[in-house]
Amino acid sequence: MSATTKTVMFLPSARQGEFEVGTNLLDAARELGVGIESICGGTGSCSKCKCQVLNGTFDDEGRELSMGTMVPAGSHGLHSGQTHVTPVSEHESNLMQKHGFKSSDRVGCQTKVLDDVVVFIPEESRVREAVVRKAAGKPIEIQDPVTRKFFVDVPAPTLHDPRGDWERLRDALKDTHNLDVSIDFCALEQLTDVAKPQRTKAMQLTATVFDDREIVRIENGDTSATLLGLAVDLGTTTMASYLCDMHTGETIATESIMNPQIKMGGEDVMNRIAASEGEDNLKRMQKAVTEALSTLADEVTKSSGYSKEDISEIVLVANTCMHHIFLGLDPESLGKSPFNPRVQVGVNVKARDINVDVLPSINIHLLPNQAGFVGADNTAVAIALEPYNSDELVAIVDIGTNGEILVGNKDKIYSTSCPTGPALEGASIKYGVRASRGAIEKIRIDAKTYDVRFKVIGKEAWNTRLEPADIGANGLCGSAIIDAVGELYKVGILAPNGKYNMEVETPRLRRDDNGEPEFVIAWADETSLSEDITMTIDDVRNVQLAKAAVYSGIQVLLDKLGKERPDRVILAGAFGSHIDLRRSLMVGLFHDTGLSHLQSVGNAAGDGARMALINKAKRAEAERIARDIHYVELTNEASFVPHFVDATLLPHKKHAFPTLARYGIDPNPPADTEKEERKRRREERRKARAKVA
Amino acid sequence: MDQSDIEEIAELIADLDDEAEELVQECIDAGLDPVEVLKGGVVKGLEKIGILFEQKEYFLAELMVGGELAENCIKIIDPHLPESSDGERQGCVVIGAVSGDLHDIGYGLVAKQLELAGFEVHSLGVNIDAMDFIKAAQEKGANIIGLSAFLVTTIPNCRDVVNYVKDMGLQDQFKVIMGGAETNQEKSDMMGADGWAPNAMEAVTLCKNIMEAHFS
Repeated sequence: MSATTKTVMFLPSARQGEFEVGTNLLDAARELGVGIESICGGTGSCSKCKCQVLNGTFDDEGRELSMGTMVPAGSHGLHSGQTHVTPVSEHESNLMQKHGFKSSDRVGCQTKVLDDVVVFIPEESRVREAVVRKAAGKPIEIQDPVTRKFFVDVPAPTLHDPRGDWERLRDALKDTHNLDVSIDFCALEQLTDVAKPQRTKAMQLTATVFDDREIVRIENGDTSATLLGLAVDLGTTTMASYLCDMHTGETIATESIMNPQIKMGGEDVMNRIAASEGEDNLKRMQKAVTEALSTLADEVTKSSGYSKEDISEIVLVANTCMHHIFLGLDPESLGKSPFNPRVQVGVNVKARDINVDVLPSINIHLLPNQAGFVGADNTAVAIALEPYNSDELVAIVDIGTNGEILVGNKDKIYSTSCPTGPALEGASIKYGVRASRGAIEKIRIDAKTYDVRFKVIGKEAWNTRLEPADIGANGLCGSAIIDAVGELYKVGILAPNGKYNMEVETPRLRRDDNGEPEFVIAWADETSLSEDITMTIDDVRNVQLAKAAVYSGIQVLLDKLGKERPDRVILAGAFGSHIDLRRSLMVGLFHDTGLSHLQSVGNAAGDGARMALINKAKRAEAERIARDIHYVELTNEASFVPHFVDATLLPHKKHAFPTLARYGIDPNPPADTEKEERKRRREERRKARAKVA
Repeated sequence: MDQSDIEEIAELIADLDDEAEELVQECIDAGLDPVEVLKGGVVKGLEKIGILFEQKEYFLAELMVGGELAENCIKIIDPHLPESSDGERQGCVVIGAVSGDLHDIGYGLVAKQLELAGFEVHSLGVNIDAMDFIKAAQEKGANIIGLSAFLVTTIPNCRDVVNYVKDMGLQDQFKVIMGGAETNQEKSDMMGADGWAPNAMEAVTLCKNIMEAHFS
């Protein structure tokens, strides 16, 4: 142990390592592979990396040694104490106060190592395995893939015909399939491997040909019945892969993992851009994701009895930032105005060029980007849902870490990206968590008693049918956050402007230690946190900001088209398929087009990727529409600010929500009803003054 | 028409009731002191809105509507104010979003609140180069340069403005403050700014404090 390194141990895993003095606890945890939450990427704003510095002496397994315990020979135990880390700074103290930390808690990224230390990571800060929610959709109907297999008879070489193996294969392909192709070097090696034992015999082999122009693989015999492709949706948070039979259009297997960049550079796109600054960092970020793709390719093929060499082509979709980092193109330009991408058109790249460990010669196709903030994933959504063939005016909303919106029909389509922020995914919400075991995912509030029923992920029954000790709720995931605000508004606990109506009498509605209102969703005994899970006023405000971004994004695009409202709202993406549509209307996440004209279609980006893999025409369609869709930069639009402010109200300041009438909610915009209320208050004040006089 | 009507103006503004405009007009027509209508009515109403915002009763929409309402009222009073009352100017601020940043909601709110609090405010717009902040500050004789950075990627551009101020030896002339969704006190310190505020209302307090500490 050098003089400047100190031992840091994390509990409950008891993992430990040596770190330079001055290393912060979040970085230390990440380096040791200890799962600790962080959404801001260690910039000291999210406070999700809460941990506790323990006092005492601990053995190698993290057991505290009480005074007088015999320490095994050769070991002195690890002495830890509060003074072995830097004291609480003013900024950290503010964070701790804001997020309701106890005095024994610390913000991991703000706490630096001074001496040996043992750190406990509480339940709520541990990274849980996410419930990955990206299932595959229905088979693709038209099968006409870009990469195809050709079975071919290659004549034997003779003294009269001593052409090379490759030349005989090339000419045979020309004669039998009318193909004029070149050959990748990797396939040429495979051809030699096949030809060598055959010596002077005729060969029967299968050539895998990319785009009718290049052989990427040679196999002995007829393997043309098996033609596999991999569609990949590379999200900021989750990376999903679909192994497809390109002959039938069916999905054989799916496999998902977390995007490993989260551990290196925060949760949202802007933090990722900041984390890829500098050649080395960009390479590191690229490597993390190409390695993850290699792992996915391996797992998804093995799970269905194939090998990753059987993959003939990969189609990948991603937002523009993930797209650029995947290709190793510096995403720096996406972080600043004018936010131009490095490339918009679809890209073909060989697996070997970006070190994806599959067959080195195969093509990886990335669908075209539309703009700096509307990427290939949104182009995939468009070719899956085809708004450009629709008579109805559709609004397609894909809420992820960033929100993307398409509004239009067969005449014209506009797209934009809206800054939803991380609130709808659980960040910047006091008890917000990712969708994983133990997270509350559904909430209902009784309109008379204000009792709360909720359901946690991993339990079949709702809380009211379980013993409190069996519930073990650990926080609120995105769908619960929408439910909470929607239900609280429905029962009148939240006013249209998002303030808590403190006149409602229920022990669940109370003020916290700072005097700020909050509503108790789960009592402490129903949680695994030993404290009440609440929805604070700041949480409500953050949801208002996020939903206003989506709503006003749609509104700005409607303005461009000269329309009042869309005919239909379609939710694409994982978030859309798990939120409750009625509650999202109560919140006013988007326009009320009636429940029959509101639908959720699941992971349309993944569907679009599969289509582009299996149907050549879809790839051409993608190029065309990526060019034709008009991108709108919201911050450039004068109408954005007033629309945004109007949309912060529940459900909207000026728009009617007729569907809500059946839930006992006044469907008229609150601005109309306020007039009467104001008049009443005016009269009251006048009377009060008259009395005094 | 008397003091109680002026109090009612404050109440109406705090209640975001546009009847306030009519009452202001009536008070002025009845010959009440316009300075008192402004201070005891409109400004007091705005203060009430500020308190309601701090108490989290009000949010962005109320701040916006209240600001517009107060502005309309001031327009009615303005022609009747005696010349001398201009002397109460709080200070001068140039404000805008830094280079690379196009977000104008946040700094727009700050500009409006500062204006209503009596500051002379010059909004420069979005995507402003560092040197243009300095030039504008010199031209307008500003005391405070307000920087808005909404994105993690544009926050470092605040440092350029701070450095120019230092390099040009203007630290005593201009104080630089910053804000924006992804900023905090620590980042502001890292950029070398003279102050930071988490929202529009606190930005007003920050500017008042700076004026008192450095320019009184």
